[in-house]
Parts: sequence; structure tokens; C-alpha cells
Amino acid sequence: MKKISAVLLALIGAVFLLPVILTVIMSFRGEKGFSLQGYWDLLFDCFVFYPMFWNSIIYSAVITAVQLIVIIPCAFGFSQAKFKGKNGLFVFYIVLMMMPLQVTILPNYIGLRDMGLIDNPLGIILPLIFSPFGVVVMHQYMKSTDSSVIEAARLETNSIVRIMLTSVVPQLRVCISAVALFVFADCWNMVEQPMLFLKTDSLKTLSVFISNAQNYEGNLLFPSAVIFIIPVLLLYLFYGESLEKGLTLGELS
Amino acid sequence: MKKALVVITAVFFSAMGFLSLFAREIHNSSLPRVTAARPETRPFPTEFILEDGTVIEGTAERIAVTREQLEQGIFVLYYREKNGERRAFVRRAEVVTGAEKDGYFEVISGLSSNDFLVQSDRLLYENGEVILAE
Repeated sequence: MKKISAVLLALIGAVFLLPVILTVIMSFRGEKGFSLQGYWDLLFDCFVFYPMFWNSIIYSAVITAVQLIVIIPCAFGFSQAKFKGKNGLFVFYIVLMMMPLQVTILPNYIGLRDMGLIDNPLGIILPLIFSPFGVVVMHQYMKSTDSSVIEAARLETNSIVRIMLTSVVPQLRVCISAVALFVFADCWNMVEQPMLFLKTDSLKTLSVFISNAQNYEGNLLFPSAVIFIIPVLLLYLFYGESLEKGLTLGELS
Repeated sequence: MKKALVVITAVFFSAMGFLSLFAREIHNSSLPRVTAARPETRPFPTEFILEDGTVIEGTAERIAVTREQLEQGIFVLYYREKNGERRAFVRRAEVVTGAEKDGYFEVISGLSSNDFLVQSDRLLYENGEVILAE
């Protein structure tokens, strides 16, 4: 039974890996077989690529950092504070988490337009500062943390911030890494928001470049897709173990 | 494994940073450097026919090219958008020449006074990208 499961999982894994492998192969394919012409055209003949690459890095890193700063206290508040409507608010967060992007993108655009944030990097960063997904995952994980540590910290200090930073956050390292990885990957892959909220090419992201690759000269699509995969792949290889632990421990609680 | 990942990450981002700063210079160094100028004009003998049919011989300024330019090929500068930027390219001008005087050939068609003739010490290709020398 175990062997059948292993073979089945390997086949499913192969199905998921096949598009990535084909992308890498096609990126090295020229008119007469193996060729680096695509990479040359992209890296030495398409200079709009570089601002978009660094924009993706900056937007994803900033959004991830700011989200963590917001959602950790939020999840801590949910786990420790007792207030009226707490459960209802938590259910509301879960509903928000399930709401598709297409539902909120038009109200977002109208709000950003009225604030004068269209064609501004803040128009991408500000709407993504808060993530109900991060709060829900972190709250589930916080339920499994040792509350005696928090009680001991309360004896030493009254400052909630200090209790959170010295007692709770160290216990949440694994979960924080997992959430950070998810958030970074989500921001890295976003294409609708930069496409709609940004007009200037130099502010757009790599995902928009790939979606418009056919407008540029040369075989740019596959080499740019390979370069697009690399940062998230490296991040996953760094923090993959934390991701696994962060998700499974949250489940066990 | 982690050490290898750190090295790979550092190399990747260093390479992207280096290319962000220097890719354009590397690209430009592979392109022919050209100088562009309006075509010369020279006086060539011509005939003026009056209304009554009288023919008057005189001279008129016409676009002129040298034999050397004809042998090397006459290239004209033009600009077009490529990959989100306005860039300089050259195209071969098919000129029809007429009279010759003092080593210059009169251009009957194929060039206009609005064109920019291009000179380079490297071989130029039809629709090839070039860099204008400052």
C-alpha cells in the first residue's frame, strides 16, 4: 500500500513539475537546438526587465515585512484578549480570507484613485498590509504555544508589547517563517494589482513583464519565466522545513 | 546544503545587480558606433525649360555622394521602438545616381535632404541597431 501511495505521489509530483521542466528546456531552445540567445535577448537587450525584477523583489519584501508586523500583534490579541464579538470578528476574517480578489479589486481601485495612489508603489503595498490568512494561521499556531511562558512574563512586566516580543515571538519562529514564505510567494505572483494600479512601466513587476512578453522582441518569455521562478525557489529551499512544521503544528493544535 | 544555498542566492542577486547596472554598457559595446550627418549637396549642371520652350543651362544644388560611399553602401539612420525604448537603427538606401562631377555623384532618387547618412568603421547591416557617437 505504501509503495502504491509513493508511486501515485511521484506521478502527481511529476505532473506538477512537468510545466516547470518544460519551461526551463524551452528557455534554452533556439532555432537550431540549444541556444542561449533567449537569455542574451532578455538580459542584454531588454532593459525594462531589470526595474520590473527589482520592483517585484522590493514590493514582495516590503509587503511581507509589514504584514508580519501587523498580523503578529493581531493574532496575539485574538489569542490573549477577551472582548465582545471576538468570535464573530474571527469568522469575519475567515470570510475575508475566502473572498476572491476579483470581488475587491474594483473597490480597491476606486479607493486608491480617490486617494491619488494610482501609479504609485504605495497603491500596491498599502492594500496588502493586512492579511486575514496570516492572522488565522498564526492564531491557530498560538493556541498551541505554552501559555505558562506568557504568565511568567506577565509577572515581570506589564507591557503587552514586551511580553509579545520576548515570550511569544520566539515560540512562533517556525510559524512566522511559514507565513512569511506564503505571503512573499503570493506577492511575488500577483499580476492583477500591478497591471491595474500602475501605469508607468518602470513601476510594474516581473509578473506583468511575463504577461506582456509577446510585446517584446526576441524569445523572452521562457528565460524570464525561469528567472521569475528562482527567488521563490531559493526562499522555499531556505525555509521549506519551517513551512512544513508551521503548517502541521498548527493543524495538530 | 544551507551554505550552498547562501552562495547561490548571493551569486544570483549579485549577478542581477551587476547586470542591472552594466547590461546596457555591455550591449552598447557590441553595437557599431556611427556618426550621422545630413547628405552633402553639390551644384550639378541642369537644364531649365521655360514656358516658351527655351532651354537654359545652369546649375542646381543636388544631393551628392562619393564613389567610396557608393562602394561601401549608403546607410540611413532611423529610429524605432524596441523593447519599450526608442533606439537607433540603419537601413540601406537604394540610390539611383546621375551625373558625376569632381568625384561626387548626383543622387536622383533614394535619398532626401531629411535623411541622415551614417558613417562607421564597422560593417553595417540592414536594420541593424547602432549607437550614435557623441
